[in-house]
Amino acid sequence: MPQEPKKSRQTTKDPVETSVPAPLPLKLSLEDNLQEFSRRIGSSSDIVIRHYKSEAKPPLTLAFIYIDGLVNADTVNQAVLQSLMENSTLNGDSITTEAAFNLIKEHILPVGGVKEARTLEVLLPLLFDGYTLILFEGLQVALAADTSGWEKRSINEPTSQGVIRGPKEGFTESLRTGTAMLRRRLKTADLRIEEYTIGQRTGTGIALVYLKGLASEQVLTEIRRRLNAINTDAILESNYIEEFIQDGGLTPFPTIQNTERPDAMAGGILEGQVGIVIDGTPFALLAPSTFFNFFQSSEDYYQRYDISSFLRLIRYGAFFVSMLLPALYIAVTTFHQEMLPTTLLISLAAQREGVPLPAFAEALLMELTFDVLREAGVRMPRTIGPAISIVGALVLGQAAVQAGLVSAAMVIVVSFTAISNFVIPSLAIANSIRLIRFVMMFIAASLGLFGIMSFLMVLLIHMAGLRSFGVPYLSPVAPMIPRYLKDIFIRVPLWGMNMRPKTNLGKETRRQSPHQKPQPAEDAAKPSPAQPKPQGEGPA
Amino acid sequence: MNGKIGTTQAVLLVVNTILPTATVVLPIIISTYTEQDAPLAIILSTLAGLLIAWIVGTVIQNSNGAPFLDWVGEKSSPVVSVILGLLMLQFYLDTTATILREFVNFLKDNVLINTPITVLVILILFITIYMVRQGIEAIARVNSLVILLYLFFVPLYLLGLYSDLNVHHLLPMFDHSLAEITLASLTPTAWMSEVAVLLFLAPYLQYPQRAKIIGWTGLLFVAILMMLILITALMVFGPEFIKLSAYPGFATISILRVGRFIEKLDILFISYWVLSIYLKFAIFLFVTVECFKQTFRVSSSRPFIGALGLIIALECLFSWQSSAKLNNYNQEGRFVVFFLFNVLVPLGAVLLNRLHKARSKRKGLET
Amino acid sequence: MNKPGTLLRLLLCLPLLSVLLSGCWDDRELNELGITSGSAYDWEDNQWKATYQVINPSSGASGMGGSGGGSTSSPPFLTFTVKGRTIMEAIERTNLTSTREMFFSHSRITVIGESLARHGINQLIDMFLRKQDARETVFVFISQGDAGMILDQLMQMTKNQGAGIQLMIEQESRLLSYYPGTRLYELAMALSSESKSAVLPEILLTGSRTMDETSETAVTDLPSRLALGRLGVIKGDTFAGWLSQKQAFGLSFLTDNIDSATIAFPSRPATSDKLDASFILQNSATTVHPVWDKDHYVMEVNVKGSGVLTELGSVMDLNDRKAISEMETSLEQRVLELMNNAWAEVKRLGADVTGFAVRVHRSDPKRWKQIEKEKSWDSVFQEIELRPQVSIEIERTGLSNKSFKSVQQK
Repeated sequence: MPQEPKKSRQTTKDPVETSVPAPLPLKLSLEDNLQEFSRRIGSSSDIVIRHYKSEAKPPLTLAFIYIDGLVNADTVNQAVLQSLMENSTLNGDSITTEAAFNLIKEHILPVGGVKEARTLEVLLPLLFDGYTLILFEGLQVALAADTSGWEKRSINEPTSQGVIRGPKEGFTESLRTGTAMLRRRLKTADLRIEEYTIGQRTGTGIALVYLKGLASEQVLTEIRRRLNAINTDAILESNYIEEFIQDGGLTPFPTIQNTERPDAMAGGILEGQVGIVIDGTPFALLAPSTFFNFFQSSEDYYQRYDISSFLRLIRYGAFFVSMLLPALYIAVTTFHQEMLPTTLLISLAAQREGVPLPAFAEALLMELTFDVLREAGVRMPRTIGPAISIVGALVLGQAAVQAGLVSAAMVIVVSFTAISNFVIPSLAIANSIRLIRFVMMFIAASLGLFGIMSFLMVLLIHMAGLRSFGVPYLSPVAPMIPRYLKDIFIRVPLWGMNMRPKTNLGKETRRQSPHQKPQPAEDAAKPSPAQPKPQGEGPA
Repeated sequence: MNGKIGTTQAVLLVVNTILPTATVVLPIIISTYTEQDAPLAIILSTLAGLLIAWIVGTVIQNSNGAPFLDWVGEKSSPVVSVILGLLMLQFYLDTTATILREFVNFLKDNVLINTPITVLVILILFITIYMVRQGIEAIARVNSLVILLYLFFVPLYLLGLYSDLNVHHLLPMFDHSLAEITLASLTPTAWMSEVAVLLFLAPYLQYPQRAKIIGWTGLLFVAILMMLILITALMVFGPEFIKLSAYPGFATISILRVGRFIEKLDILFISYWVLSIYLKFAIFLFVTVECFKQTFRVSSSRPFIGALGLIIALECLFSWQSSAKLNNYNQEGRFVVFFLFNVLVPLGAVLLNRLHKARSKRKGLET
Repeated sequence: MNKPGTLLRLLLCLPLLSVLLSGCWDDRELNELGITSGSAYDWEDNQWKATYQVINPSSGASGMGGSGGGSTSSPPFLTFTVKGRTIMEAIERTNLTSTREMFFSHSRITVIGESLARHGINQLIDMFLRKQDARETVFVFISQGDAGMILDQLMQMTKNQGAGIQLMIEQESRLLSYYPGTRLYELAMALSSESKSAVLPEILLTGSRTMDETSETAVTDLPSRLALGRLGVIKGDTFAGWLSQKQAFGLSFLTDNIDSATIAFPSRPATSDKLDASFILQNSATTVHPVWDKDHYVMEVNVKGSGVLTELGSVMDLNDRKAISEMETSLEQRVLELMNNAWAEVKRLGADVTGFAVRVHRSDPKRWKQIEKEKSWDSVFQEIELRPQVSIEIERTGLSNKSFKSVQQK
C-alpha cells in the first residue's frame, strides 16, 4: 500500500463502550464506600472484604479489600492483617484516624509498595493488580498495599524458537518476569523501561524497553505516539499491538519481529532496536525490523561464524524455494519445457501420464492438503499427533501417487517447499510467504515465468517502498550500504563487527575496540597499535 | 514519498534507462550497417552520449535540481515552459509507448506467443503504475538490486559462451568507411541520449551538482555492457549471421551451455531482462508523469498516473501495431526526435541560462 | 485511505483476475506434448517429406515408470512421416495423425536427405531460425538415402536415439576429429559467410535393414547400426559432393578443427611404407595466412601439433633422438598428404569449405572488396596454391622405451 503522509491516522479518539462513570472521590463513611465498591464490582465470589474494628475507644474501623487468587495469601495474612491487628499503638486508646493512617503507611505495613489514593478509579486497577486496599472510617483517602502474588508459569524453554546452543529460558506471560530477564542481561544504567497500560477492559501492561543513547529518539517518539494512539478495549497478545502500530497496513510482510527469547531481545536492544514486552504473552516485539532481521537467529551468534554464515545462506535459499518452487515447477512444466534437461523432461512427462489434473490444479491441491495437515497438526491433541504424520506421509503422499492422482515429482516439490518453510527462523515471515506462494502459483499458471517475474517485481517494489518506523525495509541492501553487509548474508567473526550497524536509524556507534582478532602473543605484541580510545557512547 | 536518490543509485538508474531496450534493438541495427566494426559505432555513440550527458549535466547544475520546466519558465516565460512542456509530454508519451511496445513484442516473439497483447499490456501497465506510485526512491532501490544481479549473469554468460567465442570473427577491423560507422552510431546515439531523463529526475537527486558525473558513469557502464553483448554476439556468430537474427543478444544466449547439463537458458536471461525492462518502463512512466506534473503545475500527480498510463497503453496498442513501423522508427525517425528533445532542448536551456546571466549581469552593472 | 476508494480499486482488479484465471493461453501440459528428439527432411515429388521422432515417455525411457508404469515392449519413440508443400504445412499435418502437439525444443538432431540437399536447404534453415521453439543448436547430418529411415533405427544403450546420435558426434569430434559436429547455427553461419560453403557429416546404417522393433535390439551384435560416414559438402545451399573420411580428416587440419586425433603412420618411412605405428595428436593448431603472389593467392598453412606415441610395430629404440625425429618427419609427411588430398578434392568440388574466403577478407580486405565486386571468388579459389607446413612433436612415447618387436628380436 502506498503510504500517505499524515492523512491516514485518525487522532480523534472515539470512546470505547465501557461503563466508565465520572471519577468518584471516596466518601467519609466507610459503609458508603463499601456500598459503592460492591455496586461497582458486584459481588463476585473472589472478592474478599474483611472488616476490622480495634478495641480502642473510639474504635478504629477499617476494611480490607483484596481479590483472592491475585494476592499472595501469606503476605496478606502476615504482613497486612497480622501486623495491623497485633500492633499495640494502633489498638491503644486516643489515636486519631489520621494518626493511625500515617502510622500504618509509614511504619506498620511491611510490604514494599504502599500507595494512597482518593478515588475509586485509582483504587480499582490497583485492586485488580493484586493490591490489598485498606479503607478507613472517617477518611477520604485509602491505602493500597502491594500484596500481589498470583500463580505464574515458571520460566520454561521457548517452544517456538529453540536453539541447540544458547540460553534455554524464554519469556513467560508475566510482564515483570520479562523485564527482569532483560534487566539481568543488560546490567547498565542506560536500560530504560517505560510502562503503558493499554486496553480499557484488559488494562494490559506494556513495557517499552530500550537502551538510552542507542535507540533512536526518532523511532522512540514514533513508537510512543503510536502506542498512545491505540484506543481499544482489549490487548490479549502481542499481535494486537503489532497490528496497531506496524507500518504499511496492507502488507504481507511483517515489519515488527516477535520473539520468545530474552537473549534475542537483548541482542536486538543492543543494536538499537526497541523492545516491547506485553503482559499476558510470552511473545515480545522488537522494532524497527528490516527484512533481513527475520533471517537472523540468535543462535547465529552462539555458533562459529563459518557455520552461521552457511546456515544463513541456506535460509535465504529456503525462503526463495518456499516462495517460488511450486510456481517455478508449474511455469517450467507447462510453459518452458525447453529449460529442463531432456532426461528430466522425459521422466516428468512419464510421471504425468495418466494424471487427470493439470499441473496447476495438482499443485494447488497438494499445497492446500499440506496446509490442512499443518493446521490439523497444530490443533490436534498431543496424544493423537503421530496419527497426522501417518495420514500425511502414507495416505496422502504415497497412496495419492500410486493411485495416479498426483505425480511423484509434485509430491517432492510440495514436501520440499513445506520443509523449506520451516527453515526460516521467524514464523512471521514464513507465514507471509505461505500466502504469497499461492499467488505465485496462480500467476505462474497463467503467464509462466513472465508472470513470476512480474509478481516478483511487484513484491520487490513493495518491499523497497516499505518502512519499519522510518527504516527502509530492505536496508542495508537497498539502499545499499556495503559496510553494513557484514551481518546480513553472512556473519563475519565477532571481532570483525566493531561498529554497530546504523540500520535502525540510530547512531553508528562502536561496539567494541578494534583489532581483537586473536593472534599469537608475540605477533600481537608488535603491530598492536596504541589502544584506541574507547569512543563507544553505548554501554561497553 | 519524497526520498532522494543517492549518486550511485542515480548512475544505476541511468544504466537501466538505456540498456534494456538497447540490448534488444541495437545489435541488429548497428551490425547491419557496420558488421564487425560495430564496437567502433558503440564507441562513437558513447562519445556523443558523453557530450549529451555534459549538456544535461550543465542544465541540472545550473538549475541546481529545480524542476526543469519550472526553471525554464522562470528563466524565460511561463508560456514558453508550457509549450515546451506539452511538446515534451508528447515526446515522452511516445517514447514510453514504444518501450511498452518493444517489451510486449519481445514477449510475444519469444515467450508468450498466444497470449493476447491486450492482457500483457494491461498487466504490465498495472504493475508499472504501482511501481511509479511507490515513488522514484523505491524504483531506484529495486533498480540497484536488479543491476546487482549482473554479477551473476555476466559470468554465467561468458562462461557458457567461452567455447564458442572466436576472436577472428572481429576481423578485419576498420573495414567500413567513417560514413557507414557514423550512420550506424546514429541510432545508438539516440539511445545514449536517453540520459536526458535526468532532467526530470533532477529534483529527486541528492546531489544535483554531480549530475554530469552521474550521466558519464552511467553511460560508460552502458557502453561497456553494450560492447560486451555486441562483441560476444559477433565473436560467436560472425558478422554475417548476426544480421539474420531479430534479437542477436538473445540468440547468443540460446546457444550458451555450461557442461552438458545446463543449456537452453534463454528463459532465465529473458526473465532477468523482464525485470530490467519493467524498471525502464517505470522510469519513463515516472518521467512522463513528472513532465505532466511540471507542465500543468499540479501538486500531486497520483490521480494522473493511471490516466497517463492508459494513454500510453492505447498508443502502444493502436499506433505501434505493426512492428515494421516500429523498426522503421527505431532505425530512422528516432534519432531526429531524440536529438530534438534530448539534445537541443537541454542545449537551448544552457544557452538560455547564459543569456539570462549575461543580461542580469548587465542589469547589475547598470543599477 | 478512504474505504470506498479501496473497494473500488479491488473491484477494478477483479476483471483482471478473471481474465488471468481464464488465461493460460500458452500453457501446455507435459502429457499433451510430443517431445521431438529428432527430425529428418527429404524432398520427394516436389514436396517436403518430414519425419519426426517423438519420445514415448511411458516406455520408461527415463528408467523409471510413473503412475502409468511402462511396459518395456512399447518402443521408446515413435516416428511420424508427413508431407507438405512447405515445412510448416508438413509439421502441422502431424496433428492429423498424432495425439500430441509437436514440441521441438528438445530436438537434438536433424537429418537432411541427399534429395533435399540437392534441392536446397535455405528454407529449412530459415524455418529453424525463425520458429520460436526450434533450436538452432541441433546437430545437422546428411544421409545418402531416405533420411526418415535413419530416425526409425533403434539404438542400444540409449533409448533416446536423437540424444544418442548427438553423443556419437560429440564424442567423435572430441576424440577422433574426422569431422566437427555441425550445429544448425554453425551451418547457417558457414553458409552465410564469405565462403558460402559448409560441410555436414553423413549418417548411415551399416546394415541393409532398419532395426525398428524393440525386440530386435535384444541382441548383443546388432546387424545394422547407425554410423557416421563421409562428409557432405554444401555449396550455396545445395549439395556439392562427398569427401571421404580421409579427406575429411585432412580438411579438419586445414580448418583447425582438430581436438585430438589418432594418426597411423609408417615408423620407418625410409625402409617401408607400412603403417605400423600410431600417434595421438593431443594439441594441434593451424594457422592459415593468405599471400597474394602476383596473380593468385598462396595459402600458407602452418600446422603445429604435439602428442603421444601409442603403438609401434617396428624395431626401434626410443631413447634415440634421431629415431624420434625420423618418426616426426614421417608423421608430418602423413599430415601433409592428408591435407593435400583433401585440398585436391575440395578444389575439384569448387566449394570453399576451407573458409579461405573468410581468411582473405580478414587479412586483405581491399582485394576482397574487389573480388566481391567482380564476383570472381570461384575462379580465384580455383587458382589458390596450397603451401602447407607441418611440424609435429612427439612429446612422450608412452610407458615403454623400446618397441616390443625390438625386444623379441634380440
